[in-house]
Amino acid sequence: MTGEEREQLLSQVFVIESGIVFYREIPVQSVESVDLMLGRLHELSGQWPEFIEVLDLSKVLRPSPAVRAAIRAWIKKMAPRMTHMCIIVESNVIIRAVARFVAYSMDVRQVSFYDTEAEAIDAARRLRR
Amino acid sequence: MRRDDSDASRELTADGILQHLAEIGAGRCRITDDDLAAAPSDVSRELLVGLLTLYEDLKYERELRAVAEQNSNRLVADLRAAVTARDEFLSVASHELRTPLSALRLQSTLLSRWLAQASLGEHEAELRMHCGIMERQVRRLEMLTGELLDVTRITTGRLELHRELVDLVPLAREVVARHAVEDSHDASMIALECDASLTGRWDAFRLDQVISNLLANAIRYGQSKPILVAVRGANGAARLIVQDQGIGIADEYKERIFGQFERAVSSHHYGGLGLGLWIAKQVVEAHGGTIHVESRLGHGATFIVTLPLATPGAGEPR
Repeated sequence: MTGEEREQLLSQVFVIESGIVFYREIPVQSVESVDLMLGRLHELSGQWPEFIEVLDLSKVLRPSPAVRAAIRAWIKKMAPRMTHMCIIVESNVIIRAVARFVAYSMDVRQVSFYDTEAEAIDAARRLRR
Repeated sequence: MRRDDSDASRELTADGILQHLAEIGAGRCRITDDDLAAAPSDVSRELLVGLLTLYEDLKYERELRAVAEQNSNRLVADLRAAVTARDEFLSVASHELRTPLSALRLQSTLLSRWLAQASLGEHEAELRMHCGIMERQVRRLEMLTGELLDVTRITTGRLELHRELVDLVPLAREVVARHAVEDSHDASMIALECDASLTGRWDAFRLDQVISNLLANAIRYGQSKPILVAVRGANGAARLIVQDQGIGIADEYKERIFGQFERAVSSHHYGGLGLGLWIAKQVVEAHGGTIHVESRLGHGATFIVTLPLATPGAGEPR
């Protein structure tokens, strides 16, 4: 992975406002990309005792078992502070099911799904108040 | 994947879901991404996604475990081979070293005798001193090679005890006297407290080694302060106590010091191979006894050996 590619991946994870972090997943993930991007999420969210993740899965394909294992390892570290996941899936019902299954297996129970980015961010802001 | 009618029907009924779960439990799964896309309802699709994901995750974990097990097995095999190679090397090396050492010992003894009889003029004192140093170093080399040889004997289960009726009191007295001569600069303050007699069916040579190793340790780490060696009987057992007032042992090392090549201090500051206490423990345990240490860092150490006393009809020599 080149420096430019790393920067590109890192730019997909950013703070929307205090306590809310946006994470736009790439279509085809690898263990390396997940480690890099979830590492950034961990770093950005570390400044708050609790936070909400707005997760855009609208363009992604079903992750491989190795990628899911990497995601679980990272999210388990953050789960106690992650009070909610607002997930954008548009009409991708398969990803919706995978996301719910993976979230439940990580003890993340507060999950909601949205068709658009605006709806997900609005919901996160309401939950934050 | 093409599904027949029975496959399609399995998606929608409790029985069908149970069949999928049974297949997953048996390490098989016939659900594919095409099945997910073709599922007739959101509910059945979500259930199929869950089942497929579960199956893939379980399979992945199984594969990871298999790889880890393979690596672990390879590592264990490598370690065993390394330990065998080390033991073989130690065995060969210590045997090979004994031959020239015996010759060296003979020569140094002859030289000492010759010096005792000869008149050497102005260099006599100096020559005697150098000869004494040489003899002590030869004895030290013999002791170290003996320890290495004991490692291979013990680790290969070839440590044999030649049991006979042994009185521990004169044996301890002899070891203390020997150390008082050999380490005269350190051992002038070794006190010996003994019962009149304590007899057991033990291997005299090996118990000599145990007392000697403990006493050598007490001298080495005792900071030249008084050392107590006590031999007492209690509750059908003999208790050998070697107590120093030296640097002591930190709690985390109290078990470790009885391990092979272990030491609680830097090898740069204190000599030895780190085998004395390990050998002592192996010998004591082979006699059916126990050894432990009581100590506080900076406040000395007390090693306590307990050995069962001879009883009528006690076991034959091993």
